[in-house]
Amino acid sequence: MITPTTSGILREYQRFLSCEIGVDELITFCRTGSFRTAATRSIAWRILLKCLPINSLEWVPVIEQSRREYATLRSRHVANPRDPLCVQDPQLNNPLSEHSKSPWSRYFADGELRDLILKDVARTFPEIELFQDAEVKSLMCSVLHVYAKDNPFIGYKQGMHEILAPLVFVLYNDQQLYQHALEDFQLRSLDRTALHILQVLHDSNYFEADAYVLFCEVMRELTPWYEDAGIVEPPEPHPFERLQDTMITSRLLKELNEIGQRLAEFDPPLYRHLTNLDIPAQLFGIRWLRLLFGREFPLPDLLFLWDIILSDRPISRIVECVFLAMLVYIRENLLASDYGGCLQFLMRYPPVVDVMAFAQLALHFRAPLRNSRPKDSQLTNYSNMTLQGTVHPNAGNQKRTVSQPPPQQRSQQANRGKQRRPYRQEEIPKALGIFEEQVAVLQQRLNERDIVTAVSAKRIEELVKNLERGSLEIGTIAAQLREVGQQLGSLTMDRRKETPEAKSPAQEERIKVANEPVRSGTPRIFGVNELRELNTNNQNFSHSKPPSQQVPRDRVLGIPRF
Amino acid sequence: MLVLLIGDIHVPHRTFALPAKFRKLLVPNKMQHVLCTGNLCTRETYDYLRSLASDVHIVRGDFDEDPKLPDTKVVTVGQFRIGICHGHQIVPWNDEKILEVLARQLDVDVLVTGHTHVCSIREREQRLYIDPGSATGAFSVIQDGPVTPSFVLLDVQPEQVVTYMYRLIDNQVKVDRVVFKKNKEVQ
Repeated sequence: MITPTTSGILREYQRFLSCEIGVDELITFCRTGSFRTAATRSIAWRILLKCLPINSLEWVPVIEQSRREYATLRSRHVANPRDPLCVQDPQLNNPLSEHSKSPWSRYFADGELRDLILKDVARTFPEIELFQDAEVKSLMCSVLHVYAKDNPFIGYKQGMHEILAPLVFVLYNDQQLYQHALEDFQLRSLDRTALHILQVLHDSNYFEADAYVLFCEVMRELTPWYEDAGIVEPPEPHPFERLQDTMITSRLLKELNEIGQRLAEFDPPLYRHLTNLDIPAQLFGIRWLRLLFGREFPLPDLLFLWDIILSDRPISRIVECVFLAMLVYIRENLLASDYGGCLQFLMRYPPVVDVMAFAQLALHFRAPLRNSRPKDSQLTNYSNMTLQGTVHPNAGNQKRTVSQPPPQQRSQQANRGKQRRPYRQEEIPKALGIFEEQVAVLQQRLNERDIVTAVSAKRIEELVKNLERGSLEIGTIAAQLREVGQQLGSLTMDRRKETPEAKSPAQEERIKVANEPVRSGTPRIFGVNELRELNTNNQNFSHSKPPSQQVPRDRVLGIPRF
Repeated sequence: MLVLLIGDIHVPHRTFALPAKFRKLLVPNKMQHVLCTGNLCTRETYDYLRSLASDVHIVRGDFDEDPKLPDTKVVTVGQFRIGICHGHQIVPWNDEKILEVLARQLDVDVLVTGHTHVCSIREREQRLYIDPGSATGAFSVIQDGPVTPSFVLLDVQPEQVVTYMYRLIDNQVKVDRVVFKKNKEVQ
């Protein structure tokens, strides 16, 4: 939502450069979501993943060393026959050469792997523009290629590109923000050593090397989930064997099994329900773990979730807690669904409404004594839509999708229904669904406002300081104040502008229904199209939460600049 | 991007097959395009070329019976326009001036012609003229003595084309390389 303010970005850099934060503070920052709008997330991740030491003076040698190592690895593993450093004898170095030392024969030997990686990379986050860029694609390909060649016992597996993508995104984003800050002369007050460190850190020429180093460290945590079980011949399948009964060979399945056990301790009814339906964690959890929840959350939320996960290494414990929190979040939906419905919810996890509260819950599971459980909110997930913004396959199944309202509310509604008009049984869930979505949209708007207000307050405070010191001219201060004022005003202006649009017939109808849901006469039936329209609205909200992260190359970002 | 230039195969009229050494070199999944200057003569040869790469372009030679084949064809690979023509239509045969006229007509960066059964690569006025020769070494009516089997492989890169000329001399494959850069005057 917000690009860091002028002094904000400077302050962030200073915080890291002056070594005033230790690892503990860093972890606190991660957990409280300070990096959601920061330009230093890549630095934080590098420190958390031990790619960089905490002391900023050691950064330059460490990072140069790692870049050199990557360069050697790359030249060793990726054959480039067009490299002028190769043997120039055409007898040896020609595309059809059969000689084993020819760079071309190595090049063709890797062809299959390259094709495989390319196919996957082309499909990475199709909704984000950065990943459509040819350069970024080729960068991701070479990183994955080098990794696969350097770790032959794992090789390349599907899903690794989804792990790499957020890392690339974060690095790219921070590089861009640094460049902009530099161009806007926001970093003038830094001394030369500090500037040099930042320059080296954000050098886009070494984008690939930096991405590789980060990726390697993340993969170090994830390898157990990617490696094969080894070739163990299954002893002979029993006739009525189920998935969860088969011999647990790989560590991934073992992990999932443990999570299942933990769920049994933690939420017995849900566990019983899933067990009765014969849905073990192995069925849906493989993807959740391998992609580190990459496909279950929109990217900005995912990055925040990764902040939390990476700040708690080894990550298996916290991952387990996030896993449980995800299940608990859609608990009501699951309990109300049959086999098919459950699978749909688990395979296409409905987007989480408030990721902060979600993270709180996960942290609470991790350490119940230290982290309090967040207040239970009625609305946890947009159960009517998928992450891609399409209608969730379960959305049509009114009986299953909507979480049950708390008992007293339900009784109230039932009473009202009795007094006025028998509310059609199948209508209730739909109406509730619409309420639910409206509440979600409102909450989203509130969140946005909160952020804008916070930044404005910060800004005003700064201006007041300047005023006291008299370091700025009154004219500029007035101009800036006006800007802030406009900013705050635009919040309400926007709303007002939106109102006439909101009066589209369908929405008006909806509002009417929302206001007086119980009308005499013909009962109101909702059309499918209306639901769709609402869903697309929601999707806009949930996906554009911090556009500053989604469209990183856009300088102005189309949002209020402070 | 690898492009195979091959032509004047003349199977089964003048010879029975490609040389074994060439067959060993030409394997699938290496080149992306095949450009053929014609005189394949049979469907089987065409199928063989199809097995090397899915994208095969053919022009009509004087011994091709399929009337649907075009006389000239222009294929764009990367940033290079490559024109193909068998060459028997260009009279006098293999005349440099007339070939240059054709290259200008087609507005191509690389012009590929056959018919002479002699492999040659020359560059003139920012255009590259390639004759892949005869892949089977079939005899020619306009050449005296034995014909050297040959074909050409292009490695098309963004800025330049690297040509590899494969010739079978004394039953040994000999490779020569020529680099052709586009827009030298701009650089």
